[in-house]
Amino acid sequence: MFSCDGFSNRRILPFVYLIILWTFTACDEGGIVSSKLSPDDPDVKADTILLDSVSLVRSPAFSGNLFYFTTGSFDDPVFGSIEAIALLRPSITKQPEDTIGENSTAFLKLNISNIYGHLSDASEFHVVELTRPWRASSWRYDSIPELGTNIVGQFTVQGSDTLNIKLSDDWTNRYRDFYFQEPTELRDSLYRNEMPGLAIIPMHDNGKLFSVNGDEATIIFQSAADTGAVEQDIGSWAVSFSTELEDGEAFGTSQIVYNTFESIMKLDFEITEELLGSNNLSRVELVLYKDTVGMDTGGQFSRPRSETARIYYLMSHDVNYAITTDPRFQANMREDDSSYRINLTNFAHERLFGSSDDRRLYVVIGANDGRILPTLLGGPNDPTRQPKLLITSIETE
Amino acid sequence: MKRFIPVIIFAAIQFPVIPVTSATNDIWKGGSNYAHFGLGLPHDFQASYSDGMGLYGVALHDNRSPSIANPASWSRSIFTTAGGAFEINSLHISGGGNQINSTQFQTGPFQLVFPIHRDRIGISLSISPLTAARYTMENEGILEPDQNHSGEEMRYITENVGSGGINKIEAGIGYRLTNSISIGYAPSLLLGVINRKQTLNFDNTDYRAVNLRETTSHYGFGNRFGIYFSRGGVLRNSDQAVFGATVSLPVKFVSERRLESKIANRDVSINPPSYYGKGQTTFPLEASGGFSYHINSYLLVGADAIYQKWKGYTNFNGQAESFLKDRIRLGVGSQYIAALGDGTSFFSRFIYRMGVSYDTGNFTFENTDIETIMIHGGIGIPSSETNSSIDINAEFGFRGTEFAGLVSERIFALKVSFNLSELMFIQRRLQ
Repeated sequence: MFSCDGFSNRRILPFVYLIILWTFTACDEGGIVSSKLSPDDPDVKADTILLDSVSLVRSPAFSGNLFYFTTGSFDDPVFGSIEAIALLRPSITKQPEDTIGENSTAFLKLNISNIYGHLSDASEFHVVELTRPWRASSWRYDSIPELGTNIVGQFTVQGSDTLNIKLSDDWTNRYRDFYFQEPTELRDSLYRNEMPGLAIIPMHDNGKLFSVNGDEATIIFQSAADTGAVEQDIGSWAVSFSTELEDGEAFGTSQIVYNTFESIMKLDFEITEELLGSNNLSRVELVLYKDTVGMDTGGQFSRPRSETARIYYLMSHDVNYAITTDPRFQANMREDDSSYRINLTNFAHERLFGSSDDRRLYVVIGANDGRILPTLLGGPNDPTRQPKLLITSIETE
Repeated sequence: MKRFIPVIIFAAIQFPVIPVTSATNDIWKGGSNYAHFGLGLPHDFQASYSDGMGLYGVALHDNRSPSIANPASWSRSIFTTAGGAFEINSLHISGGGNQINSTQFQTGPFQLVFPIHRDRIGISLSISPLTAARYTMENEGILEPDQNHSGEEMRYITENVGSGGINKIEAGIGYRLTNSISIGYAPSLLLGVINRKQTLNFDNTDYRAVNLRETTSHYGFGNRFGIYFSRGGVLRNSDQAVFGATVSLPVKFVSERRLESKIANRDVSINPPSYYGKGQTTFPLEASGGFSYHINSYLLVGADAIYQKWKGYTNFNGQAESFLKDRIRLGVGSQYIAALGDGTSFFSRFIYRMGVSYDTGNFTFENTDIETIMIHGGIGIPSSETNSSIDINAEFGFRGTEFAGLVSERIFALKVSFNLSELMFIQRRLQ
């Protein structure tokens, strides 16, 4: 008679069972859709929270040695009167083979990168001397330069060509004196104190601001005998900037923000489960709208713009130093509805499940790069452009 | 006893697979669409030999194999027996225009029966699944354009995954009052965890998958009584008739529920147990009765029925469920022990079993009972020198209907059971 004794006597019966199990183990093809028999699915909630607590904070940033320097003035019908002064201090580096001959002529060479204002109108600028030493690393947009009365150069901007601005012989000769000063340390020190630099100032109502890449600006000393030229770069530069808006209510509740931190939108809300209505979040999205209607000028002039929102997450006392930190979020504008959409999902989780503090979100549009980029953002009580949170979560009840 | 050691070790290894505390595992995916209702689908496996006949086994006893079906039958034990079963269920599911296949692996009951006084007093220790709530289902949803950031309709899938079930740990005794009548009593601890996890996966990667995991744990104490009557020479000298009946009293569970979500790799309590209070789930009364007739030592026929009063079930909130109904399962089958004969052919070495069963089910949807009809067959491979055996049972049948938007399931199950039977604590006279 057949039997299983052979297995059991050798005590391998359990292993035979295991082999049988493995033989028949199989996998699924997946679930089936049958709404009548399915468990009740959790409801997906898509909530909108309008952010009312929106305010503007002023904290002009440092403007020294950024990518651009900007000068000019323009009366923007939306953003009001804007005036900027560029501060330049040419280097005084002497190579052994270089020389600036007597009666040499100095030219300030500027390549205009972009223009804010009326492109084709002629705009006059003066180059004057600064009368007080300054440092680019500590210069802010709201710092006030001390300007001399001597006009070192003057020029007119019409279009966006390269500018070659002849500087005065007096300034050139004084520069030449320092240029030959030895030793080098003494030369640099004397030059910084005695010739603090140049400022490019707009004449009144000149109708435009223009920006120049600081690394591309130079001063060229052309010898009278046409025996050669010495080129000096602009070692330090900065921008002083002021704005004046006569009618702040002209665009309703929309808020002006500047990339220069002249004006920053503060979103004063704390991420809590009560605010969001759930802590089981699929997506939390901050939506900011550009007020394109309010910014529309009918194309009468050129206004440089940035489409990148930069959102900082800071304590209020750290706003002055926002320039030293990287923004926590960045988002490009969506063209179809002029919105900036920032994914705050992970941020919300951090806030919900981490320790809390008093940091808040601060919004500017555009990088602080030395240009002046004002933007109008939808503010509170604007039914279509108010900042808001879009929350996608699941019902937990 | 030595022969039991590897088996016990093996059973111990397998034992955690039984979802006393259930764990999500890919192997459990799929499953019946009806498994997420109530406490899950009832599990009826009581003994390998009765399962092969499609019977519950309340009026059956076999000295080679243990049976959970009737506590009174333990009094008839002569050998110490141990048994365990493993089961593969393959479901072909049709409904809603979809057809899928799903395969589940499940461990059956494990049982030890000791004859304290041979053929008079026996005790049993067992662990067995009572319900299984394992399933995977998916539903599609749409987030309207104004409800998501893409500006277009966005699709998401809700995956519902259930796992766990109710299990019973039972210790009982059977006592033979007279030559014909035995009685039995088995107190038990019913416990289990039923997990329902819902995960929403969005088509847009900007949206994080979100999930909810509801965990409901239950425990309660049960009581089961049985009676077993057997009498030989009823219609002929070599025959025997057996009647058996059991009743399991309703069990009031102590239930606890919590709702959690895995968020940013943390288990976050959405609603703690205190939010729900203590649950009031009631596991229903069960009664069974049947008879078997041993025409001779080779052949028996039997029939039995079980009744589960699911109308008496109350859910976690103490409420009855409208989709539940009382369940009756009927089975009829027979067994032929060819191995007892003198045949020398290959087919004379086995035990053959077959039967059919009909189950009214305990669910009613759309005024339609979710019935199950199965045919059962099995082969026992006995040992000639010991009483141990291996049983391989197969069953095939249908559950439910596609009518009224419901789901029809074609079921094929293969069960492998081991039954070890030894004389313990007795010096054998002949080896």
